[in-house]
Amino acid sequence: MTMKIKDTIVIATEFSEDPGAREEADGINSGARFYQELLLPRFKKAIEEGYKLLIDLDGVFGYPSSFVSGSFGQLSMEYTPERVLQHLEFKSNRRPIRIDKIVFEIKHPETERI
Amino acid sequence: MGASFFVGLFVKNWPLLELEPKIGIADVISIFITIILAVSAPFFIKYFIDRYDKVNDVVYDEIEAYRSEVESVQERFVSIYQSQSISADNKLELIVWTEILDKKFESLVKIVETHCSSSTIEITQDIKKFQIRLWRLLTGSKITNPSYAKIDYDLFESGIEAYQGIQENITELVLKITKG
Repeated sequence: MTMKIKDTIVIATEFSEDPGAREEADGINSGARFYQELLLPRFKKAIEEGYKLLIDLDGVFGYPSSFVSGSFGQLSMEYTPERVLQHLEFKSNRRPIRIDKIVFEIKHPETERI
Repeated sequence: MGASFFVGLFVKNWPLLELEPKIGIADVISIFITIILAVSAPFFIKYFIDRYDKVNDVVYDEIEAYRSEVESVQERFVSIYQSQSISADNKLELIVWTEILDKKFESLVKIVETHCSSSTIEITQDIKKFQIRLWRLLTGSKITNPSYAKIDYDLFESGIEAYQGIQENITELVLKITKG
């Protein structure tokens, strides 16, 4: 059974147009802060209520790999890649390669700083 | 004398093949079409060859634009490595470069997907793998860590390997398109 999308996080408007690095200590708008404040709570709700959460990646200049690692990679390590990809869907009309990058990070989460 | 005999025999029996006195309109049209096709075929062939060459030129131009961007990123990366220090601005610069590279890559993929074969499209997927690898290295947690002050040899070598992977696949792409 395919799950419906019932919630959307637009990173540019709900978080920042300028995502930072991985940890809070690395600077502002870190992946860790995005994970704690937005991604994790909304993802948990999506799991509990059995729907998909759409992540809109447009409106942002670029995503450093460290930001993606500190957020989506972290989520993948917590919940397994399969579970994450079951409940997340991505949208990027302007730069579709961003979706590939994030899905790659979810499938191969960075366990140590590279 | 022998020759005049044969000429006389030939004239006597002329025409050896009788022509059909009634020619239908369909026959006339058929003859005209045949003549038009015979005359225009070389022009059509030339037109399609020229068109094919022009399409290939557009694809080659896009590949070269992408290759040039890859080389710019590589030069910048090597230069930062050689400087033995990496500033916050340098780190930001690498994020910007990888973003520009993504944009160029997507233009290339769009052109290849529209004008090239599926086996050629597969090569762009291989390029993408190396480009993601490069993005991970140049904007990863190690390099964006504020305490990371210079590009170490391991990171440098991994970066060069990723560039090499992209360059090899670009060459493969050009060869594939050239072979047709």
